[in-house]
Amino acid sequence: MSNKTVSKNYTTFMTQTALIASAALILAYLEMLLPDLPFVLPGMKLGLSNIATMFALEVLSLPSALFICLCKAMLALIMRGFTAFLMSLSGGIFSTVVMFVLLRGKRIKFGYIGVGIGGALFHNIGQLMIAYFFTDKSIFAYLPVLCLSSIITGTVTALTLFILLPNIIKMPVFKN
Amino acid sequence: MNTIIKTAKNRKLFTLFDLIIIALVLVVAFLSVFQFLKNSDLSAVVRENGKIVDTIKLSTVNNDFVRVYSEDYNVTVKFTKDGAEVVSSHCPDKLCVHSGKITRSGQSIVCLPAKISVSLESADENIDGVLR
Repeated sequence: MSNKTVSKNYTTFMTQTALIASAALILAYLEMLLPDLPFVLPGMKLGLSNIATMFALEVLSLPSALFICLCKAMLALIMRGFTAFLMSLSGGIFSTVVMFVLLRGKRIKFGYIGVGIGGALFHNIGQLMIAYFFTDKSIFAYLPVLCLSSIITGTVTALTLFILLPNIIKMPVFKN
Repeated sequence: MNTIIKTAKNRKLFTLFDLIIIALVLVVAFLSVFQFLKNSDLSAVVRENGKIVDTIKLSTVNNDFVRVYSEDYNVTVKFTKDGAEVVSSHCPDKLCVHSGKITRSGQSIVCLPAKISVSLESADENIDGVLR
């Protein structure tokens, strides 16, 4: 591989990842602006920025997606403090790894909805584990609620991505 | 890169395997509900003449042990991680022994002649209802 190809690949990686990372940050910020619904428990979130991570995994690569998680965690650190940073990072890494595995299935092909639900669920589980360190095991009483909510939120994010993805990959940045 | 974009376009919105994921998540949700109801912090409370003489937090019981209450009747109560039972008693009717093991919040064993009662009580009353 010539030096030129390496630097071109690196530039591509950087620009594509930066673009999706900024989209993820905007989505995360948008979600913070959304009003709290009365029937929603604390911790139940739509997980809009999961759309960006899923896109990164599907079109870009695992390192890109993990980098986007780190960006999201940094935003949480700046805006909501260290605990939020840990929770965001843990949830992000869990969901990214799970979605990566689900997307790479060769013989068992999952659709977007399955991947979205898996990602949403493990985002919650990753956050729950950090919450467990700060509280006690009674926090796991949340698990059934989070399971059910992740079915809904995972489907919503998957649907959004399904509609958006064919259009986004037409952007010149993703043609190489 | 091109091949990945191709699979991206070929991926379906919903497949049969997704249904399996949803089913699995639902099963996990239901199982964790039951698990939580079962494993809430239970305490075995032993009363003699209505006064509490012993309280044992069942989650701290790692090795089963027995304790004897009431000098007249030697009511022997065995405590395990998941419940309590009266293993022997010198009372005439042995109703307490025949009650068997109690494992859920709200259940109790009473030995009337010895005026001993063993009941399981939940630490979080607002979470655990009384299941009989």
